[in-house]
Amino acid sequence: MKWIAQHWNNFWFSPASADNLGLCRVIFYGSMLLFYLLTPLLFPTWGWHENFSDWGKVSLVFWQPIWLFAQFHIPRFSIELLTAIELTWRISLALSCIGLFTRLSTAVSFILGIYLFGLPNSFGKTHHLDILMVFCFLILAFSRCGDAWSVDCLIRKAGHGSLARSRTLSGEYTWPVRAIWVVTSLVLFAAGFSKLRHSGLQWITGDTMAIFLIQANYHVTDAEPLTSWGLNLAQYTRLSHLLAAAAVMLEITFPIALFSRRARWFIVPSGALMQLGIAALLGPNFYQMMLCYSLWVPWDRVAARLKKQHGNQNKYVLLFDGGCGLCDRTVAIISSLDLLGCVEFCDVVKQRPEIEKRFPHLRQDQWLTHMHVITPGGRVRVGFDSYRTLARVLPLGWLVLPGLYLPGVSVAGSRIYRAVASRRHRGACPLPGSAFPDGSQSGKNLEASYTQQEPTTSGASLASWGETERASKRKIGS
Amino acid sequence: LIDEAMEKDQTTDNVAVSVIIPAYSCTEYIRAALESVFAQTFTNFEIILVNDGSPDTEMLEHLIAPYRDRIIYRKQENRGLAGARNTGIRAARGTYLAFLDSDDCWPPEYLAAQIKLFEKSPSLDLVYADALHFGDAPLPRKAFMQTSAPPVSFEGLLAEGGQIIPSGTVARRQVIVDAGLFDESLRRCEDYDLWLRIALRGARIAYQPSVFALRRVHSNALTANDTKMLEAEEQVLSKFEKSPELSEETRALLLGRLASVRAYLELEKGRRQLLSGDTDRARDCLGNAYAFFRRENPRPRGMSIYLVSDSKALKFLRRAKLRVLLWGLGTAPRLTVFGAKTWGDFLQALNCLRHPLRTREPKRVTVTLAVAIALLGLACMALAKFAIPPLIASAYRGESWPIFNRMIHGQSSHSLANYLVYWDHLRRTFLLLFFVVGLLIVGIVRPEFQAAFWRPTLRSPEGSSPVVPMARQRLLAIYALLAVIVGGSLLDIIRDTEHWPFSNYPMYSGVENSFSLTMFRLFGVTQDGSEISLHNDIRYLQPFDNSRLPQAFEYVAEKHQLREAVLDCFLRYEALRRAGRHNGPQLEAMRLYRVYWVLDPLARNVDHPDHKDLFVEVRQSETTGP
Repeated sequence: MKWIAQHWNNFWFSPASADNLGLCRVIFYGSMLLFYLLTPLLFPTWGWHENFSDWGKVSLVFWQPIWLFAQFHIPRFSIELLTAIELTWRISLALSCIGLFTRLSTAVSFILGIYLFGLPNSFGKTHHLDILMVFCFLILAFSRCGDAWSVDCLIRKAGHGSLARSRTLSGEYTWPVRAIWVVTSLVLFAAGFSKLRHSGLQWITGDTMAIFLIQANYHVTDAEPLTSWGLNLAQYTRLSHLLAAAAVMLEITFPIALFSRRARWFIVPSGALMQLGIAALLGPNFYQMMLCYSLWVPWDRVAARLKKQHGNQNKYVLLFDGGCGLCDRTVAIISSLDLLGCVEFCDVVKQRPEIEKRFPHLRQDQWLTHMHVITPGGRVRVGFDSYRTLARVLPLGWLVLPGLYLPGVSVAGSRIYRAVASRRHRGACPLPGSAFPDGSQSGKNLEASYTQQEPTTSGASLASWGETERASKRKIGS
Repeated sequence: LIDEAMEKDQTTDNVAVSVIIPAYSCTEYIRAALESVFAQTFTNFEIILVNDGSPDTEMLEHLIAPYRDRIIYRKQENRGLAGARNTGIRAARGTYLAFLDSDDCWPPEYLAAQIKLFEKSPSLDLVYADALHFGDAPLPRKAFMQTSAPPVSFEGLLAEGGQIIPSGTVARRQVIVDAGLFDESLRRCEDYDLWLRIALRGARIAYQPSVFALRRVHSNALTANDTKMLEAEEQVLSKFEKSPELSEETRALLLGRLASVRAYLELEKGRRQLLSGDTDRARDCLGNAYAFFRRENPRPRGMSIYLVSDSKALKFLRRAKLRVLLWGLGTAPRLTVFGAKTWGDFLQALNCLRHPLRTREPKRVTVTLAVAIALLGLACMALAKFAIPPLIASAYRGESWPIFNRMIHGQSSHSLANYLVYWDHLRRTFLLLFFVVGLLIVGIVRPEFQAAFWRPTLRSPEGSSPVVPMARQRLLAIYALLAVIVGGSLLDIIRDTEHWPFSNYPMYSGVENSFSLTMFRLFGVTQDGSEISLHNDIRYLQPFDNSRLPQAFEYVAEKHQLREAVLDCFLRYEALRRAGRHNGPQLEAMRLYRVYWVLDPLARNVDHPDHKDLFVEVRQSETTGP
């Protein structure tokens, strides 16, 4: 019992950070959104993923509701309502992807998704390409996938304003991914099991595969085969037997990927390749299902590796006032957006001696009152310019970067920064307010004064600080 | 201690209410408690969170980190609830003190309502509200108080017991300081003790009917241990026994109450001795309890409220049970102990299903439950095999009780044998389910199972970040979801059926032996009279695809509505063509054929079937309608 329980819990609830689930959410909903937005435009000849609202135009003579619709008496709605449902569903996919109102948007994605996916299947034939997605929607709607990599998370951080990314571990972030794995395995296992149950080994040893390969070229499948190679393969009996055996073997043994990390590396890509092969030779496309395979990738480790690679390079140093609630919240957001780990955060309240030692050229009264960013090259950016510099570093900042360089934005941005900075102490900020209101130096003047100022203690120019730091790192490394 | 607290008066600034939250092993609930305070509509308060030497301090501090700038945090060695609250009182600056246990919550309007009552009657010293239970079974959604006359005097408190819960209480700080704060020698009922002392000093106490606190019920709560609560209550009441300030009437009331508590305590002790097999001591304790209950039948109030029910029937049953037990202990002590243990195990097993992780003697409980289920199953099996078939036969002939006769008598569409076969099938399914569910129940009461599956405690793989445990309700919900998804899928896979979105995935699973193909196909007749296959371009018949449409025609053919179906396809083809969604030719007619191919290895005959039977033809003129 102990052994079972231990393995059971390790599988379902081994503590993990919210990062992997959050990234899975972004990738799953993002890819679904792109797929359903773009493929009808890019590949209009694919058959079945067209606008769902088109089913509103089909005569109810064809209506043969699937079990779910029949049990709950779910009707086919009017075209207008279907269009509204489809639009809402796509919006919910977008919101789920960015993680805004995540609980609600994922729930809406599932509820509307199950209706939209079920609708075509109620017109004559059930396809099985979208079932996995329905379960993925359900599982993600039930999970706490918005706890990381989401706008909701940023908003929460902005509210709490703690610099340290709250990296709590919980089984809550493990089970959804594992549940998706289990469902994927069940889908593939069931397909293999059905073949053996209905046809036995004859499915492999007979002409079944060869006939399927030829039939696929008679316009019988939901999408045309990508190639006509199937006709050539069907000529070789042993090759078609081999294909059939490989397909059944892979489907039956797919659940092994749940338990063996090594087997996972082989089985999961093989599953994706098999479905790609089906699209190429037989026609049916499992593209959405193949997107679900991306949830087998440990995205948090990928992100951590990327971050580590970038983190090893020289970092931008951000000096901020940790005693000021507004600054703290701002930095909490920036730290969340720092996906590549390019920014080092220094709290001038807590790390004052360290900062004085590292940056002797900076004026203490100024770094206490303005946000400073020191580039790896040693250049100092202050105030609004520090934000502009950060926009270059943060991947999501690239979206707004062109806007920050439009004429007039710099002047307006500096004014806004000064206005906010001068008022920040009215809240909970215990430090003295900005020097701007009494007409002292602005950010630009400060930067100019830094570049003119010679270091007094260390003898090295600020511009060469990067070199100094690199040297010191090498020293530490050695 | 009091002087120190008094000194605070001089430094008190404008804070109206000091909210005191003692924290000990409460990481699951502390955030909810804090959030409920921050959500108050009354905002002039400070929060003093006292960490009473909690073993999970690291986790606690991590959880409260986002709130640290908004609360006053004190950490101390473990001194119990009283010690923690006293620390909070000493640090308090507010005129009023509001107590909130770390596992409880307040509704947003709680403080505002309490303070409003103080403002309405400035002479009030203490105001308390009722509480709604939430959390574990069996008390959720029930109010804490059981009477319509809440106690507001010493006598009332004695009679009604611990009806004032700290999480629903707001008091003037001065009154509590004058009463001497909480008694730190008490580990339980320290609040009851303080309320009694305050009442004895003549303080004005009022009941707040317009708002409820939210009291969490869970197995880790201090109040969850009934015996210890009774012992603590006895300790508190004993303190007042010799108080000179009591009138004769009040003293009599106090002694009566004390006797009642002691009787309940004897009852509890007797039960424990009985289960441990010490028959002599059990007989003494139960005898003492019986002597009291025989004489009097007190209303079970106060701390013992969770222990016994108030109903007359149960009081009678308790007396009868005690009498039987005492008789049994006198005549056949070992048999009585065995019977009591078995009965206790059975009750415990039932209780385990409601309160997992409380199993005390898992082996006995498991065996008792397994035997009970097996016996019940066998009884059901015998009943279903031998008693029900004759009943069905007599009901079929209309010779049984009217209720059964009405069910099947006169329904001549099925023979008696049919009913019996159906019953046999039903019986087997039911028994199978019964034993499977029974086995599951036996498994569930095992502590290993509960500990493993209800509250998995896994260590952090990195050892650095704290692990947030999952609540039991959440786990239950997750298991339910997984059971639905995996169970539904497995059921369809095993039974080879399909209940979308569950499926057995039968696509491409059949054997194909013949190099031929037969299916419905739509052809369009162009204006020059030639036929084109409408399956060559998938856009012609959207949203149908080449796999779905032929299948759909098969279904429609069974309904004999092929003409309507082809007409619909014709109209949609033309509508799509006019909308520019395909560039097919304008059609004069649309024909539905059942076509037959002998498969060519290179599919060269795809546009020339070997044979085709015309089923329906719809002409352009028919599409315009009447």
